Amino acid sequence: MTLKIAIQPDQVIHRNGERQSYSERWTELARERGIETVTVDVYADDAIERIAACDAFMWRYDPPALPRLYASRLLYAVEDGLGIPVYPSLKSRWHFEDKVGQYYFLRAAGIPTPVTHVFWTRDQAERFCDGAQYPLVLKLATGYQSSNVQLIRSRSEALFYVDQLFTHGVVSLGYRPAARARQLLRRLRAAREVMAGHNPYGPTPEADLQYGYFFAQELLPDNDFDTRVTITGNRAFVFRRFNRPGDFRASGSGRFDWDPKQVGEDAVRLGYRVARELGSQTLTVDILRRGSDPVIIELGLAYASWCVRECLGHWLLNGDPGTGKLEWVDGSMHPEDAIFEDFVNTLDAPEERVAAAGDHVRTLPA
Amino acid sequence: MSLRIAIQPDEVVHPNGKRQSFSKRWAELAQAENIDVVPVDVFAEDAMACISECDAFMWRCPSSAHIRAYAKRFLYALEAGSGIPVFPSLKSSWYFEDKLAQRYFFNAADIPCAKTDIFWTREAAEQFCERASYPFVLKLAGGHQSANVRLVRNRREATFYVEELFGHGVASLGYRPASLPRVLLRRLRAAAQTLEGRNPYVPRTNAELHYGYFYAQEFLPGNEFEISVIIVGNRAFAVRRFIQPGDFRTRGSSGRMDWSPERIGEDAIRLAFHTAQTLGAQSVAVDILRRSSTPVVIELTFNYASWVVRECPGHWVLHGDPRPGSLEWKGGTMRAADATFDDFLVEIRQSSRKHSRSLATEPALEAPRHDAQDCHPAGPSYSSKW
Repeated sequence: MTLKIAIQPDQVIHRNGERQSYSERWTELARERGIETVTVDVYADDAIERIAACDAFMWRYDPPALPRLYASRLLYAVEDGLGIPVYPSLKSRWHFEDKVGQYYFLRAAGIPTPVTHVFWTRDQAERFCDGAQYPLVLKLATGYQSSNVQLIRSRSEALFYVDQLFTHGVVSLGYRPAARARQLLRRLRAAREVMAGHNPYGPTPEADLQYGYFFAQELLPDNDFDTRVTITGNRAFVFRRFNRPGDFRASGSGRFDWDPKQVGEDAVRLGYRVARELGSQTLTVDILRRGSDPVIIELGLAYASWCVRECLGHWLLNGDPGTGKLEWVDGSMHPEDAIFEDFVNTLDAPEERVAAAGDHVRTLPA
Repeated sequence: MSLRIAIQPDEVVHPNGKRQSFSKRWAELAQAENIDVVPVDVFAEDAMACISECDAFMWRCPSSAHIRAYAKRFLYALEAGSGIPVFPSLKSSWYFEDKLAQRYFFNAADIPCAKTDIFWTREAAEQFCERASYPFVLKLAGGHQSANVRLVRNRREATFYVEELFGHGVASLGYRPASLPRVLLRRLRAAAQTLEGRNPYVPRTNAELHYGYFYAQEFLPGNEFEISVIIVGNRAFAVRRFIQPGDFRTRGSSGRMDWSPERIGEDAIRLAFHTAQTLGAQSVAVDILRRSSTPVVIELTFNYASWVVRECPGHWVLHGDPRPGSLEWKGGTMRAADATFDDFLVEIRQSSRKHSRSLATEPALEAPRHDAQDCHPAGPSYSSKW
């Protein structure tokens, strides 16, 4: 019997004009392998029924709030309720756009991170700000390409954000502390929006509301770039991203270096270690150095395909992340190919299919 | 070496005055088994390090939004990162106070449930309201004891809630549709608060802001009560909760209840077992109504009131599969805390820890340690007696 994979269409046009569609590529690859694909609309009423008629489901979704908050619910239902393999799996996606969850995971797994503090009450956060060393890096749980990452230089600046995060909440760290007159002007604008029936601090389909926590990380100076390790199965694609001019942030700078010799083996092994601990199908691991030691600042899932494709080759890990042999394979590769290949290979293994199907036996009367 | 279980203290005083603490009871039971108990403060900075030195972790986390936002992250990070058994496990807690996720799961797992439509855009919700059969039941994703559940009787009411949910968002379904002058008055009040620097639509400690979705469930008339079946492992405790006079909702565990087991119906018990087994949950309360004579699941709850379980004159034990398996009735009361602890102990003893590790050390910034009482005003102090 032919395999049938349900695929949700996706498309992104990157800022450099690169057009990306994982779903189109997966459909091509499926055709080449004689696999049937079923295009689904996840927002349609019959989405679950259509997916249920297939052997697996793939959806490359983006970070904005609307698809993400929906996807996390639908994918869990399909993976665990329907019992069919999905991409991305729970183990691959649960940390997506949640730096707070990522931090707790890395701590629990004993994986090095920058010194980080997460506070869940205003009082704790304020006390921290009183005694903190500045500058420090404030982050929201969500945000990509360096959005929602701010350098905080003083206690008054920190307290401004504490107030925002423990009162109305924010959808971004866009507002900076301002003079009293400017603050009043902001309030006036906000009151006008309220009169129109809107929430001036409200969430949007792009960004959900962040509030009730304060996530502070040490600044690691002397890092002119971060190292991004993209793991897919046992492959590691590596490149460096240089900081924006006059900034401490690298993500979204568009300044890349794909020379693999410039990326230390310890960073590559750390990337593999995280992926193995998570049991992830694919992820990105962003790494800085604390002294000479690599530390992880963020994990990602919805990365740009073209950045990986520009890599001159990739590493293959044979064995354990700490001691296993790293083998270099020349030539560029589409990450969507690697993801598809791994995913379909899992489907091909009958014993894994049975395991994926779990114990969900439909025996109840309708 | 004896087992060590990290336990987060919890304490709830129910509206009827009954005091509940799973952690105290778990600590007593652990002591009886010669198991070391390590009380932890999950909000302390060293919580993860403290727990990582133990063999398991237990936390009966409350449903308030703020703690839940933390607990969901913390519990899964711990389960996935450290590999130790955790109560509640991900499979027991992922749906917690999220009726949207529950509905998708029921549909995917083919669990009979009330017909529910969820819309993620204003346009789709508005179109639904034009063609909907009224009345229907509007719900927010979160809210317990019938909070955030409304009977919507006509299109005007429905449109009002669409506006609220896709406009400023709501922390509850407290406001009812009103005339235009009244709406303007509400906005004026809200604008005045905004000028003072207080956002009227602010999420609260016990309630998050709901927005960007519309959850409409069919109204099932003719149900004078709902059946709540609390599953712990292969045990089922059941109670009927009657609706309030002149309403279609119950008051959760605060209203009139009946524990007569013969009134429950075996089909409801089997449906609850089926739901719990499909979830893979350590424990779950399954709320059930009837569509004609067929039981359908309405909602799942993780943090049910333990006194309701204790009042049951007995419980059913399932042997085998939920549908054909035999149901054995066991007379006598049992505490939910005891049942969850007994099962969890078996889980701990069967688990082989994924890692033996000490956490990566982090040099501290100047961060004063917080007072545990900050996070648990109603809770015991963490060094207190158990």
